[in-house]
Amino acid sequence: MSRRSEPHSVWGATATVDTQGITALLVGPVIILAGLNLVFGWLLGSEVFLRGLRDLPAMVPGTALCVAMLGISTLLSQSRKLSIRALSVGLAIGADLFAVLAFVASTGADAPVGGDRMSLATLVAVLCLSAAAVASLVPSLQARRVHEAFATFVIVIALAALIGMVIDLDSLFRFTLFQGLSLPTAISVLLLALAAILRRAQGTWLGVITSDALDGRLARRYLPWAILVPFSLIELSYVMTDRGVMDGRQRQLVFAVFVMIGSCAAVVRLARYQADVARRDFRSEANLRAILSGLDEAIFVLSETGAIMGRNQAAERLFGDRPQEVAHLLSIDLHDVPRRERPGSGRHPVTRALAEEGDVHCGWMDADGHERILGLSSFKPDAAWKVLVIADVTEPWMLQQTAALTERADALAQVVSGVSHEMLNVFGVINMSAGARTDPDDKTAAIILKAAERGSRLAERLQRLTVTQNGAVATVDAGEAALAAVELARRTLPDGIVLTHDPVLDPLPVAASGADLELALLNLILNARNAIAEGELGFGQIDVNVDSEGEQVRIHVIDDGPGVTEEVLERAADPFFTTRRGVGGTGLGLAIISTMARNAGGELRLSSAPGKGFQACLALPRPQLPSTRDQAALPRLGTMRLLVVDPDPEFRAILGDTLEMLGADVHRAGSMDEGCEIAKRLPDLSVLIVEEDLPEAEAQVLRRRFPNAGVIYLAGPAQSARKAGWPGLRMGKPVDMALLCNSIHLVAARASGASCDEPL
Amino acid sequence: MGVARIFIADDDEDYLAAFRIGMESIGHKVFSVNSGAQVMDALRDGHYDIVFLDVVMPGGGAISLVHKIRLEYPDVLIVIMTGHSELYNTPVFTEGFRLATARIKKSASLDEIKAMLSSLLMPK
Repeated sequence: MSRRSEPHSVWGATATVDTQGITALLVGPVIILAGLNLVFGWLLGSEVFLRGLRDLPAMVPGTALCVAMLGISTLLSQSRKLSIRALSVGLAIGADLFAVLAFVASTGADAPVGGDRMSLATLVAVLCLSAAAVASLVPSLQARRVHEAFATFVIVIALAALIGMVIDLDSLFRFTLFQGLSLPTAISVLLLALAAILRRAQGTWLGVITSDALDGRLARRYLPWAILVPFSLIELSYVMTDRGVMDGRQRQLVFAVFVMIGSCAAVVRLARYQADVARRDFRSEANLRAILSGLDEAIFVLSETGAIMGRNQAAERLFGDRPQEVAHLLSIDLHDVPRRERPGSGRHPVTRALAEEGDVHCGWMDADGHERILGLSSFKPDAAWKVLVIADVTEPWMLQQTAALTERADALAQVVSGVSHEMLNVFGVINMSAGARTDPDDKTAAIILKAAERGSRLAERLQRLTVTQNGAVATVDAGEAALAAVELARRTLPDGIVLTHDPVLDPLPVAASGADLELALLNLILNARNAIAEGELGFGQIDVNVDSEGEQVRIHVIDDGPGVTEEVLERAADPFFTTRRGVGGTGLGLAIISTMARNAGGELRLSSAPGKGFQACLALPRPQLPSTRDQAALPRLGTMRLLVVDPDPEFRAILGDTLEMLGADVHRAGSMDEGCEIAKRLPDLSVLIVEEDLPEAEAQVLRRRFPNAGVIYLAGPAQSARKAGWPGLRMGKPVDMALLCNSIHLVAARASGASCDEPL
Repeated sequence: MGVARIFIADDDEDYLAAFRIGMESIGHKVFSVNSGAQVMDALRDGHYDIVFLDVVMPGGGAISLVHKIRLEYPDVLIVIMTGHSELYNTPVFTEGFRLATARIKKSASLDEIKAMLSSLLMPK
């Protein structure tokens, strides 16, 4: 049946009715009828239970026993136990043998002439029903629907007999097959045959009729007409012939015309119905296609055999339209991330994703040679097919990696900053002690002083590099920054790369932080170094120059390396675009410099051509006159009661002092325990500012202890991202005071709102 | 420049010792405390020409002290000693430092401090 292979389930001839219940409903009356026939009919002599209607043949005891045995066999065959099913087959075969014996006994030479007997039709029906019972238990026969054929044959015999009994009994019994067939027997074998098909209804005509899907609904709608119309036509033509309205040939003509009209109407009606369904299917398929084509994820629909039944546009963009089956997908080179190992046999990411091992991540080299990170997963919407989803997660993956790097760098910066501060204090002590020499010609003291001075400068530079200057309007001399970057970069250049720089004599202040500008220039010089070193020649020259144009100061970093194509140049400042992914490039350098320049009100201009080197120009505005806007913008914290919990005494002290300056009543604690002790005396605590890496600094714990206070988490050195989902505001160190004050107002307003009103 | 009475508040005992030796070597008198809490009481006990304050100290650092001192002694010279200046480069600190007469780095050499003192203590 071609319908079964269609993937759409509306067409599937699946019997969704409760076959067990219906079988019992069909078989129960048969067993009861046989029992009544034996007890009330044959033992007690009731005519009704023997033959149903007067003048009809009786159901003989042999037949009653046979149908009862078949009925019980049908009921037993539904059992899950093998032994009971074997018993059911035994009963069916037993009914066969018994039927043959009973038939011979009731029709043989010794049988009473003109008495009740087992009909040939009954014998045939019993044999067919037991064959159907056996066939429905053998899977290969069941698949070919052998049971359906046997049972349908029985149904045809039983229906013919029943119709014959209704129309003309004498004509019926003129057929040898039906001689002696009783009404209860005809009904019993009909019911048993229906039960025999229903027991394994999948794919049978009875399965179609009883199906809840479209096929069942359609069949049930037209079946009554298909039975009634021809039947009434025959009856009508018979009556008309009988009354002499028309003769045999005329009847044949009229009957043929009406039957043809009826069948044609049915065919047209069905065709129209199917067209409607197809149109609806097409529309929903088109909708589905439109939805799928809008998805960024590549989607492959796979059949049980591994053939690719369908894919969306993203799938074609990813792997083209070549893959026709899973084997093709499995031949695509996917590697493990982050180690870039080839997967072992059976561990191909597609295999793993199809085995539903959750999300599988892997790397893939695309046609242009870029590494893409793919996330694979699969699901099974139906027993017959599977959906493989492949998402390109390169950018989130890179972001995550970069974020991890940045977090580590931030943590390191905090440590370095703390250490350099301590170093400055130590150099202060040395400076002071050595400076207090009594003999001005003391050479040892002079040497110590000189070394301490150098040490202080180094420590200061280190500190400057690790500092983000929040809130301050920074200015730096572009010439000095360029000189510093050149000095730093010079130490990293290999032989063969010359770095030239003409120091500028006039001060050229720009509105940027010194550390940012130095790092940006260092990055540009290192980019030039990499381009030259990785070029064909391996040697070349880098020029760093500073000049000014109108309100802008420009710093040029120019190399005579291999240059880049126009296409690469266009994307050079895009985040994550890199030509050096394989050798450690993150693609963030130029993007960060460009952002820094834009934030400072300037821009990063790039120009290059293959063979013509690479020219970067960092244009920054001259600083505006200092304004007092920033001071005015700081909100006051008057009357607010704050608790600062931070293990770093220095940070705690300075943050507390600053907040007090803004009018708040500040309490400080070095640990959560200490904080709780203080808080016991402070019932009206507005805001808790807590280092998030402190033990117990968990949202639920804090909420319980300080139900009415708002919470601000300060990111600790561990920078644990796992806490990002906590209620409360998070901010990093070093603390931007304006941001902290605004945050305090925000959480305090929310906390006081929550304590007065019911939470939303 | 004659003998100046210098007051210093710093919790770093090593620095206090070095500062004392340095200042005494150029002829000044040094009085010191090692916590912010002692500063106001100590200032009431004697007259000082110049006050050096560390930014971070137990019991309150330069940021809050400079305001309290200014209220009681509007004319005293106040020098803030910073180790971490960039780290706390916020408008609040700029404002706080504005009330101070001068600002030096903790790593400053004796010569630098000497030069600063000369210019600050120069009779007007």
